[in-house]
Amino acid sequence: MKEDETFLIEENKKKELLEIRDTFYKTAKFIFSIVPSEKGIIEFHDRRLVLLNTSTFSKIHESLERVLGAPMRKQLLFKFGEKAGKDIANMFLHVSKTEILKLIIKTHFDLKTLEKLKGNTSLEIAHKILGYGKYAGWIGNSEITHFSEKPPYARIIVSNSFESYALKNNSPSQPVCNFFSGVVNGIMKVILNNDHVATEEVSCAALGNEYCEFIVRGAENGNK
Amino acid sequence: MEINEGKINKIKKSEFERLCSLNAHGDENGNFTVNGKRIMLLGADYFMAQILKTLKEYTGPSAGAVLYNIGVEIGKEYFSEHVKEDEDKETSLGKFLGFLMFSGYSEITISENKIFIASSPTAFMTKKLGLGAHKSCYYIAGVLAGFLSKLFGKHIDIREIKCLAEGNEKCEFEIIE
Repeated sequence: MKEDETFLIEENKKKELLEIRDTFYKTAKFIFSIVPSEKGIIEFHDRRLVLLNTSTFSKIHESLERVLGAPMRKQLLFKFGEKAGKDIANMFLHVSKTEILKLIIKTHFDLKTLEKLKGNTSLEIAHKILGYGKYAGWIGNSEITHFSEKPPYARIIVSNSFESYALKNNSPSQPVCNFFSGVVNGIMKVILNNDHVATEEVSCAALGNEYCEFIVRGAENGNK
Repeated sequence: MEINEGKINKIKKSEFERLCSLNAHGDENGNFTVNGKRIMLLGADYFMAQILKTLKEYTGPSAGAVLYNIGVEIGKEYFSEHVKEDEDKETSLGKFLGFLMFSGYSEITISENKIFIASSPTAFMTKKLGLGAHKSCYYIAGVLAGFLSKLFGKHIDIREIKCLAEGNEKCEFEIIE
């Protein structure tokens, strides 16, 4: 495909981006803790969070399909995922200088390492979020192989996604990561400031593939 | 339901503290494992509060029953996977409530015929997002019903009678045997 040649991220740049992902993963527990308060509350940015096991996710998936049918279930999970993606992107869009200084004290990482978390470009912000995904138990090591802001385009390789893990035993015939496709779409909408993007899962680990792969495309002049 | 509340609360606290001390999160491969099961962190807004609202739009009043029944299956599954045969009821229940507290459902207290949830994440987010002053804790009610049914070997239902989302201080449930 033409996009694959044009928007491929160079090796040096990719190395830098993966360092951002890994730095964010290592410092995430200092930015916000998954361990609940003594009252049993997990909270970040005034939002309540819960730990959910993959069986619960699988049962919600099955029940939605039974009640609403497959197309509607797919659409709903995508919609929930998109909301999640937007919230996550907004939470980690920027890490301020003050927050970085606080992290130096908490983590003992040096300033040069932590400055990578500032997130100056949309691609850097996206890699911070990939680091968060690992921390929150959503995905394994994942990367963006192709990227363009204008026109919007991205290819994202995701290993060990919780959704494919939860649903692989259901013998699916199509990609199953509807929720995570929505997450990717929501993140892209925020970091590209473009409401007109669409995400498609083109390869899914639940179908026996090595990893899940998502392609994002959009309208060049689709800004809000 | 005859239970020793003091013993349950003591075991709940101890299990909660044990799980917190693990400082668990996703590992290098994204596996976040607690009690042998892969888990993940999700927003209670979109995955708890919003899901009820959206289901209601499509299925009407039976939306609560859909979530309740999912909860019942999860509660039963948890029992089958985690409760040891030689454990007394208070220990099993205390550990389960400690796990729920660790999972972000806040403090859950249980008496002979009532259950209280101090700050249900679903109710909290339903209220915060202005999704309606109505009962919202169908999923967690189902989870408790499924677990208690297996624990006591009989059908038990849990019905929410007061919800934080309606403006009450906490959520209150009735145990129906």
